[in-house]
Amino acid sequence: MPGHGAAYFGKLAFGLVVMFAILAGLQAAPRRSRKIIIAFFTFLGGLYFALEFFYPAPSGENFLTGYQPLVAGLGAVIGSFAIGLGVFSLVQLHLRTLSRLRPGWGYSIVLLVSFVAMTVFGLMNEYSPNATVIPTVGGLWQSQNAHGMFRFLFSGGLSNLGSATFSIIAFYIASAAYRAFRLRSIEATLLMAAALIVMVGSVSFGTALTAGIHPKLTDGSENPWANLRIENIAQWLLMEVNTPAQRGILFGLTLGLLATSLRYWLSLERGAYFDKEL
Amino acid sequence: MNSTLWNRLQTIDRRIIYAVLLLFIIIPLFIDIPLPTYPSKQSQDFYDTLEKVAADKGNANKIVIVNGMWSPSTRGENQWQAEALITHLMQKHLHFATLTFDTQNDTVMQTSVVEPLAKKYGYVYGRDYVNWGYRPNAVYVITIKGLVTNIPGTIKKDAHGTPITSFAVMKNVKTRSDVAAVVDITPVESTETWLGLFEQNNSPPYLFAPTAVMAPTYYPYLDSGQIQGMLTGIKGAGDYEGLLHTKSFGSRIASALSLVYALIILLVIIGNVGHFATRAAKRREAS
Repeated sequence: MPGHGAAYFGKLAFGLVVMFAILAGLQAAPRRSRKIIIAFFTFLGGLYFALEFFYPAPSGENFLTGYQPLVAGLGAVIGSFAIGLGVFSLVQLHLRTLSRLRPGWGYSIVLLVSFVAMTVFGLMNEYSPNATVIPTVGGLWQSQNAHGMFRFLFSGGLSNLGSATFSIIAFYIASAAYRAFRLRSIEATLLMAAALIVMVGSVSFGTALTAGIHPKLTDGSENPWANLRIENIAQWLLMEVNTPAQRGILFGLTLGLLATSLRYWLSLERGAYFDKEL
Repeated sequence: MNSTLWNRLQTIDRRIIYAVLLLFIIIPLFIDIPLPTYPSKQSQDFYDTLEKVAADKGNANKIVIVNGMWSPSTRGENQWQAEALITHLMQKHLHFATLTFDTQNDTVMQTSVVEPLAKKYGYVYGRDYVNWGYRPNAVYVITIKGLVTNIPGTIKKDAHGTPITSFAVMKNVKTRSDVAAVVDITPVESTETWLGLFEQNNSPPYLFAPTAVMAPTYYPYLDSGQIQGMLTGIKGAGDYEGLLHTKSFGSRIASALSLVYALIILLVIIGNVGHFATRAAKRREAS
């Protein structure tokens, strides 16, 4: 929860003024100087993390560890400005669509109204949750405070809409599986056999199919036939077939990530967002 | 049968599929279908690890960190994992702290999971658990790193703006060695950061509750012992409820999932029967 009081808002305003002054200064600087300044601070930021991680810390801490909360705070501030930029772009785009009545302008109205409502009631929920936002009107409806309105919008609206949107995927998956899973080649057959075994082995009705094979023999020893229980076959596929493949992918991904990170750190990356202005 | 019928088997109207699927999802939510449940090894390991943590007297003043990266869009899986987990923690009187890096998680986690269960089990805020609240995703890495050596300095205040050092539950919690376990409930990649920056020699235990679609990616970490237990989607939540003997909504959704899988398998078989029969008919016609 954000802080309260005049001192808090004073600090906030000061911080905003300083940040906008820095941004304005950067914008006014010649392009080459701007690139050098950004590259320098990018390198400095990365250097902190690299040094803090690799510098010996016999007691668990080195001389840089104590600055972590400060660096986290700086990261949060820069991240917040990125959110502000995103919000500005989104609102600008939809206001333009609305003003020119482009196709889909109705969706823009929905987005802008939802955006304003969530922002206003979200802030009111933080700073004056008991403020009446809807007065009682006769026997039609009862008064509602800011907290109740926020809960109505969040739990009643956003939360359920999010769940519903994600749930629709299940219908597409079922339909797509029916249409796409055809045994047209050996590879497709292997893939489908593995998929079906893992699916069946991970749900109750599947495990019930081979539940008759007892894990133990009458003398208490392991039953070798229990390896044929569907959940054990599924487990074998996941651990012995899936795991090495995933490990290989993971190595490749990590090496790629390392190379890309190095390029970012040293400002070697080229293309959109780097040396090209959008 | 003629080829037209075989063709029809391959081209069932998607609206029929959607309608049947809807029924298969809804019916188990209202009618309890007594399907036998067998917890997966990963779910059993998850449960056993927390049982061990609870049995260790040395963990009495430590906390379990519950990191929630999920939002309402994946609540169908993650909420029931979270509910089963918090139930287990409260049943075993383990202290815990919730933390999130998702803007929507804090509200849904506290109002739908933690607060109702705290009332049920008599858990008191500040004494038995604390909500560290939301942190921007931009500081995810540095926050996890900071928890290793300085938990009060990294978290500073709880979700309501109160200094965390003022809570009884945080009295002895200073560094990683004061953490009994980490549980990560997530629909996004977050594991590598915990394993790479927070864990040391697999201690404290790291437990993972991803959505089902993510699970296969994390088997290398299960194989290496870095993830010590995993709840795979709603099946994992159903398994966990079964192990806790508190069967609720998660188990019912797990039953629905069971029927949905059966339907998908049936549809795939029907489609392939149609496919092969049509192909055979075409060959016969050609010869």
